[in-house]
Amino acid sequence: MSTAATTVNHAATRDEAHVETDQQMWTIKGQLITSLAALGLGGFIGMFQAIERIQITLPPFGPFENYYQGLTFHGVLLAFVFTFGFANSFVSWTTMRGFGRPLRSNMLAQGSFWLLLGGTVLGAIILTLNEATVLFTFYAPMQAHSTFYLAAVFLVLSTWATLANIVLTYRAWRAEHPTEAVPLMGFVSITTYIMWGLASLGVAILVLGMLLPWSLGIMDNTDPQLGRTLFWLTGHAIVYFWLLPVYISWYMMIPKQVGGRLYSDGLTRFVFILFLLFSIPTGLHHQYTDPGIHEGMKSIHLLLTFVIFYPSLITAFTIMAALEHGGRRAGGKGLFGWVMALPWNNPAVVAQLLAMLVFTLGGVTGLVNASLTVNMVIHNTAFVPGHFHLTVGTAVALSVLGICYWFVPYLLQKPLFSPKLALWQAWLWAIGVLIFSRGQMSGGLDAQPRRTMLGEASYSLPGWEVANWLTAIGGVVMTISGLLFFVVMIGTFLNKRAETPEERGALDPPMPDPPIHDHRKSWKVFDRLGFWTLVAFILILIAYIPVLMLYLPAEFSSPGVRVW
Amino acid sequence: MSRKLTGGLLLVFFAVLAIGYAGVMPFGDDSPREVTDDNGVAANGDPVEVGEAIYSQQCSGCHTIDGSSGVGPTFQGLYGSEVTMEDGSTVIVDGDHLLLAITDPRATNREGYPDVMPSFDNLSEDEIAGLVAFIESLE
Repeated sequence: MSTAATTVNHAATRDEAHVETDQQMWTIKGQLITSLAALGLGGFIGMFQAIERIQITLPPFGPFENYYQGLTFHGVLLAFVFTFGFANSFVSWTTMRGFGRPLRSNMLAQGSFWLLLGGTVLGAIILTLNEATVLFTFYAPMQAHSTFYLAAVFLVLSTWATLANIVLTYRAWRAEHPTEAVPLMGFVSITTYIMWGLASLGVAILVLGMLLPWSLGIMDNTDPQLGRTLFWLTGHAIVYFWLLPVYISWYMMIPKQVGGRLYSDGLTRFVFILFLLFSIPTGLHHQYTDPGIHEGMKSIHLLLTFVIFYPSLITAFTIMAALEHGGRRAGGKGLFGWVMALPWNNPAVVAQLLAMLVFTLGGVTGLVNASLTVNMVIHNTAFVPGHFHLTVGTAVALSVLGICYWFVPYLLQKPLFSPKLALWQAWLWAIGVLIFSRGQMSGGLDAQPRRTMLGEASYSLPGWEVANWLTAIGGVVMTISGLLFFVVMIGTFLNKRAETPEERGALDPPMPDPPIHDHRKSWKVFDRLGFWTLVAFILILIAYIPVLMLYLPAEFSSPGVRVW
Repeated sequence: MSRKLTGGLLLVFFAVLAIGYAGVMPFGDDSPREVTDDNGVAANGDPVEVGEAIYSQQCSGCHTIDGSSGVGPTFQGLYGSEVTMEDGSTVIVDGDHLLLAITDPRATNREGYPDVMPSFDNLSEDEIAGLVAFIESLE
């Protein structure tokens, strides 16, 4: 194994104006605005879910007719639009910067934006009309209006358009650099989207092959169990599609922002390859209580779920090393002295540091969900939303807000409005979610069901009252934090453009320095993206073919029901 | 934001984490355990308390105790009242009637209510007696 260091681009070296063209940058801004609009609307509706726990029902759930309509709106806008829009925007940009060239196709870049916007508008309209109150998991036999499924198709297609553009951009770069190692930022960008491309096949088959024709009346009945299996083929990996764009920031930008360097080029590539391979064959851990699936296959998915915990452990080590490197360079001494030497005045950093801290708890509670036997204690209880508000609701969402604190000023070429307010926003979110999730999880351990309008339930158990109050208080604190974020964003939008070279220089994005352990020839094995994609596909087949063989033929016997 | 304030906020963060989440974790409960039956109800408690526990677990979804309407009749003021059955006959609600209503609800269907109540013949004698005592206690 060679240990000789080779030179490799970690980010763009070309002229910025040449890489970032107007025809593409407006789509990146447009995707981000759509994403943040979804965050604002969906997040605000979330507050009504939280305070319902203490029997406060303000004009029923905002503009909605019932609790479950608001819950669906909250889930769909945050889990699909906010995350997809941010990923499309940010990872398109890291691809451009990573490969040092514009995206290959303007049509795909613009098409991706219009599909996202179209899907969002269609989805928001049909949800507001109360024709698709099927929650964000849209389990059959609950049947939404066909427009809802069409909106889902648009949203997924927008990510596929971005995927196609990233792959074409990579191929164009490869044609010019046939022997070079893939630039690290380009590598992490493309593996993120390849993983999602494979993962989204499940939901694509589900929506196009089953739910859309069923909702249009082309098929009379559907098979809910097969639908759930296809949904979760995508549904767990989607978590990593939410998370990996944030990991790109943690690996690529945070080391620079704290004045340190990434620990290792090879370890970073290894982590992203592990996510490509093992994110998808894990879906059955969401179906531990489902009938018709062999326990042996559930156990295999359990083991693979624990495998996928491993790259997150490496990430914890790697990022911690980069943080310590930065903290010590800034003069931090002793075992923990470097912690206080980190740039705690920079909201872009603080939001992401707090997101990381909260994520440790999210990871641990995720292991509870993943463990087949322990899962039985918390399955379908409030513990689960307690967990995922720590992960997607904070590790991802708070990191996205942190990224926006430098990305939006850079895109607008306007300085951030009130960094102090932004700092308070980050702290309030982190403390708020700890209170909120404490309420949800302790309620869940006391058998409190999830997806339930508990404030109106005629049953209750000891322990629920405290849990409900904590959930409500935490939710309100998070809402206040969210409002602060939008004050900062609107203030930034209204700020004057940077004019002098110094002002503009202060808005430069935090592009990475070479890692402490830079690229080595032996690590080029990770660059064989076609091979790793094939291995990932084979792993999906191994994980799911036995499940489907034991289950098929499908039983299309369930008519659609409307329970709202 | 000053270094002191940052330190203070970190302290608050970890305090919420430690105090809040330690409370979730089972550190070991050395308080005397209550003996419970299959329904998780204290086996040797006061009958009215036993009945109240059974009520909150198994009856409250359909029967209120405040006089308001539900899927089934309210328990408030039920005991001793005269009620009309589906066939038009009238009955004074007493212990025997409630026992029959709990274990064989089809035989005691009330006028004006859907015939949907399941049988609760899984309840023990003590639990049924407790439930009757609880209903009797609701004036």
